[in-house]
Amino acid sequence: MNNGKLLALTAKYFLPLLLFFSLVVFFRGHDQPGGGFIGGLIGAVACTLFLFGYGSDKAKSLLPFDPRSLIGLGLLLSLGSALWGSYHNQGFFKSFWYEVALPGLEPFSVGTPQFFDLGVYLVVLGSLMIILLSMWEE
Amino acid sequence: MKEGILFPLILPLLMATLSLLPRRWRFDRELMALLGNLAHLVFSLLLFFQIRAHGVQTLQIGAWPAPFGITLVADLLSASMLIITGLVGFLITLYSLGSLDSLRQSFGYFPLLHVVVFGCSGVFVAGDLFNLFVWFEVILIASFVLLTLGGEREQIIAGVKYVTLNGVASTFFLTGIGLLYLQMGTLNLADLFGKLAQVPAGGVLSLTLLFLLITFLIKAGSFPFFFWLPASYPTPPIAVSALFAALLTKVGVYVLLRFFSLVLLPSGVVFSGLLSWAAGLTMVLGVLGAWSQMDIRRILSFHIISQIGYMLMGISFLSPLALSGAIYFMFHNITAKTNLFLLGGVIALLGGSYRLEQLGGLFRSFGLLGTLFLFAALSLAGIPPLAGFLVSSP
Amino acid sequence: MVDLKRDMLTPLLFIYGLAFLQPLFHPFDRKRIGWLLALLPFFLTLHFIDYIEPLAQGERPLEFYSWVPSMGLNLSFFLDPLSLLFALLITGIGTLVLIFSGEYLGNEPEQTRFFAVLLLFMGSMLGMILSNNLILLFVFWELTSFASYLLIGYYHEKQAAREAALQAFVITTLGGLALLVAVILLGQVVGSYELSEVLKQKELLQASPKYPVILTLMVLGSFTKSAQIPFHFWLPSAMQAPTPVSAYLHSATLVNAGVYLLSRFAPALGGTELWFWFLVTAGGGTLIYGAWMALFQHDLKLILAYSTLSVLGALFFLLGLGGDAAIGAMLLLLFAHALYKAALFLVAGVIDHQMKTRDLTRLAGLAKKMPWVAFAAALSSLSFIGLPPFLGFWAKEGVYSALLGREGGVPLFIFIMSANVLLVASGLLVGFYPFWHQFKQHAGPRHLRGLGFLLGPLLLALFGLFYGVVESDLPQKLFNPAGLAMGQAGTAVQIGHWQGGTELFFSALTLLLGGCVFVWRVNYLSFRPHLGPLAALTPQRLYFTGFQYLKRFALWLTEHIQNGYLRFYLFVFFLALLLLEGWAWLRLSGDIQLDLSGIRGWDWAIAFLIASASLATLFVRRFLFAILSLSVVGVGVIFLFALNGAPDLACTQILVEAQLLVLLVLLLSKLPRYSKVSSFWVHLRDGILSAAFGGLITLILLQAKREQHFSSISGYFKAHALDLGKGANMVNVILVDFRGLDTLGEITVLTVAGIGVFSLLKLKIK
Repeated sequence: MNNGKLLALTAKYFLPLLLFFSLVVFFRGHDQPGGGFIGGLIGAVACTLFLFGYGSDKAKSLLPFDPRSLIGLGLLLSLGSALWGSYHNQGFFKSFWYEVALPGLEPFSVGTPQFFDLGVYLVVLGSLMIILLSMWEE
Repeated sequence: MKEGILFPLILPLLMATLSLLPRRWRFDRELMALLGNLAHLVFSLLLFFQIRAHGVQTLQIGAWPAPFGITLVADLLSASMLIITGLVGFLITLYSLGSLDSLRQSFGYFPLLHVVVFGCSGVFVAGDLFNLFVWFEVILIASFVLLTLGGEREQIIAGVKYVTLNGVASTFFLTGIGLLYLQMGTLNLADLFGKLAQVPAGGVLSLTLLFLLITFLIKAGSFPFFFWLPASYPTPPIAVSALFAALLTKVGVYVLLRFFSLVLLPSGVVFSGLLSWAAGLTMVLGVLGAWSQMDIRRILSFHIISQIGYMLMGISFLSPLALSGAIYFMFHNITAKTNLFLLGGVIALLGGSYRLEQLGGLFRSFGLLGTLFLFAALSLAGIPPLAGFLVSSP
Repeated sequence: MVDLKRDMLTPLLFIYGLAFLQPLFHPFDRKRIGWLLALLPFFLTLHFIDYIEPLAQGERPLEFYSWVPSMGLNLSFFLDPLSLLFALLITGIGTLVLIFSGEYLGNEPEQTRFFAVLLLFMGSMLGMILSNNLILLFVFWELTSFASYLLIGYYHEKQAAREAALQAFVITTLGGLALLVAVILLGQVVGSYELSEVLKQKELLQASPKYPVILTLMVLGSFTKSAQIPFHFWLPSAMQAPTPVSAYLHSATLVNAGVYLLSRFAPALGGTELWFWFLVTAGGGTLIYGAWMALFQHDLKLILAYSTLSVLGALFFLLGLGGDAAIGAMLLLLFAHALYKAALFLVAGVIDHQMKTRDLTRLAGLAKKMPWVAFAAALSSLSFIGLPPFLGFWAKEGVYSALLGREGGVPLFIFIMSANVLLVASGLLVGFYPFWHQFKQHAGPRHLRGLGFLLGPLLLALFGLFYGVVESDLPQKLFNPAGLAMGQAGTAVQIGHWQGGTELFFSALTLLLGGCVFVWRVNYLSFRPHLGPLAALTPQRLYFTGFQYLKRFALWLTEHIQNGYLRFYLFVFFLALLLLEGWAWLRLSGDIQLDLSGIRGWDWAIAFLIASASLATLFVRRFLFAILSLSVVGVGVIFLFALNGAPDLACTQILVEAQLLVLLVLLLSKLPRYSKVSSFWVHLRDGILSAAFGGLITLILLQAKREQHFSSISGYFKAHALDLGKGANMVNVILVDFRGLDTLGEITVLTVAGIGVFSLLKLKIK
């Protein structure tokens, strides 16, 4: 059981790190290697580690939604950001960029493609989790 | 309706997405399936009339210009295919609501149905080869899951064969796409149409095009690639078989039709002789196969193959009349085959029930003959287009 | 208001409509349903009788609706005296048969189906003779075959009925296909599918090199439908049908469809050597064969069936001879035969229904039990054998005079007379023997009641007598115009006018000799000629053996092709691709040379790594090692991506490989033991195939690199990723913006894969 404990311990400390890393990879994706696919995959790796350490019940409680809903939300987000252009009568998938100024941060631009990418992130994460969880439980 | 093409395409995806949302946010699954498919049908009809009134509709995704962004194109043929897809989707949803076990319904049956419709709609409006590949993948994965949904032993065995063979087809497709992109620098069909005419025939391009042709032959269920069809169609619930019978092979035939007119003809590399042979053998082997079977669903599956042969024969003649014959036959086949599968389900259902035991008895004593009789009726109805084919033959 | 005078589509729609609606009437009056349904054909008969006068004066009503113009298919109808003759038979006899069927079927629960199909047949047969469009004609032609199939197989619980139905269907459908091809060729030669156009093009058609083919196919179609040698055997088998069906389809209407077809095309296709030999040999052969076979049957219906064959043969024979006299005789014979044969079939139906047998050896003295039936039988039979002054007599007179008046017609005459002698004997055998021999004997369980049984036979028989005796204008109004429509100068049809001494003498001689044969036959009723070893060579046997072998072959073939082994399917997939690509390669023009200059050292190294790892997969003995060596292949791919400037792809691949490894390890405990499933040779075969496949792809790729015709669209992506796509990472911009729709599709795939695995593992029915 020593092995299992070690794994659990690793998972516990690595999880936030890996998740943070996955988000970083996701966010910088539009300009440097990374993005939704890769970010989602790293997120899934993080969750896998946790799953191996703590089992499926705890892993499930880790996510705010069950993976199925995560996929649904991701798809909806992607679809929505694609339809944003249609809604503004500019055409399906037409990208829109907005300048955002938050207090304490430099102004940066946020675009529908990034929301689309976030959708991809969620779908990748959700799908892999659902696969892993069902296989684990089997 | 500026983006008329979009509705039939996006609606099924939206339906599938909505049914994946957390339980407390979503509507009644069955109602959504029914209304969604009905709306798909309605929007396809609207698109049809829009095309009738204003000509071919195109849409550039993301407003990127033509060969660079993805183009969606819909002409009357695409719209007709969309309509029939919507119709089949709606009818099969109705039928499933009545016949399918609640377990399968609660394990994602309807979202999967939506995704199949989504993929097929995508194929019918795709104006780009890679985009087409994506739609093929969408259809493949969704139909694979539908095929195995329920996890019965035969379903799994059939599913493995189905997905392996079609996966090989995807590999061939991707290989072809890669090679074509390497040589032509574009995958937009309209762009290819223009550029292929400038390329001298006889180069390695013909090998590339052959990859694509073989892929579509596999998808259509032609000789010698039809194994996946009889192996898979008879195993899932009859509503799924009916859906497959209606759409899967026809998607292949549709793409072949486009492929011949948009790619092979301008390139000067016409494999029409090859296609005729494949078509002829497909017809014969399909009929012999159907004849040798005793299970209604297997008979129907083989019979589809033989009818695919007829359609391919029509395409291989490359004359407008033969093509219109093939298209007519395709529509006829979609409706008739779906109908037959669903009827088969009804018969099987009634045969086991006491209420209509007389009908059940009637069918039992009629047996194979009764089924053959249906075929006869079908071939009869299918003969006028046959005439169309032969007219064009020298 | 619909002008019925011009309307031919309406009758068809009425009949088809009734076929669908008639189930509604059954609950009200099951007993008299036949009478009710017969009203429609009755009025249609009157409707068509109205046409006799205007058509004789040369009117030709046409009706046209465009249907599928691109395929030359129009709803186009016309009516001329020839079609009118058939239309009258179809509706007139149809009326009587419907009434009879109501009585015959009694309260059988399935009679709804029967009437539906019978009406379907009636409509299709009528549609066929009214069609002015070749393709439409063909569609109706096939529909009649189909209806016939259903009606023969009406007693579907009987194996023999099912087989007979299928046999008739297969034969007539084969003929139908021949007809279809003939029709298409006709359309090609003439340039129109409208019958009225085609018939005008005699010179064009007969000069065309396709003429022999067209004629052969056309003849094939009509011979199968009208049961001429060697396709005759389905008709006797078809006697499995309920007797009203035999009366209607298999004596009066359906089997005449072939005669109609060739008569219709006679003006365009007829008159040639080929035409003559086809029709005279097959017709003559069937004529004598049918007459001979009829004589040796015991079953009333079989006697009638074989004699029908014989008369059909005679019709083709006369059609083949051609000329005014022969055509006139043919038309009259057709008409007379339809009347008396339908009547006799109906009589056989009554006997069968009342006595539960149709066997001559078991029937006797029926005249006492059913005098009216006996009366009708006698009258029809007299018309059959050609006793004056019945209609059948005038038909036979016509035939004799046509042959005797013909140059060199004497051998043909002797031939046809000998067949007639045999037919006289069969006629007496059917119409008199069961009723009058052993008159004293009381057979039969119950007395006959029901006007429905009597009306048909009596009316038909009386018609045959009436038109033979009364001087009517039938020849002028019906037969001569029909002859005109067939391209003759008129017909020499004579009813009620004695032709002359010679014909009369030979008619009398025929009757006399026929009577002698009858007497001989009655005394040796049990005698049947045997074919001996030749029996195996009859078309019937050949058909059955062929059918059996074909079916066995189909099963064998299907079991070998669709054999259930995935590895076989895969093998075929790759082999077919390889062969086709190889074949296409051989057809390549232009130079092919291997250009390896662009390949760098590390490419070779990676290729070597991937190849050896794949090879290793084949030789390891544990799943874990197999998985690991596949991972090495993955690593090779990662290197390839990384070295070719695609860090995104390399990252993705690393992560995918990692996840895959995790999944496979999760699965590892579930897998069965690694076992050897195939022999060394199979391994070798598959290895060679794989190597060839890989080699092929490599060669094509290398060659394709040399034949880049256009620059890639990726230049646009490079140029505009930052300014228009607002992202420095081109791959990501492509994924989420330039080609976002593809990504949308791919995440759908991922979604479904997720749901799929979940459902597969969680939902287990059984």
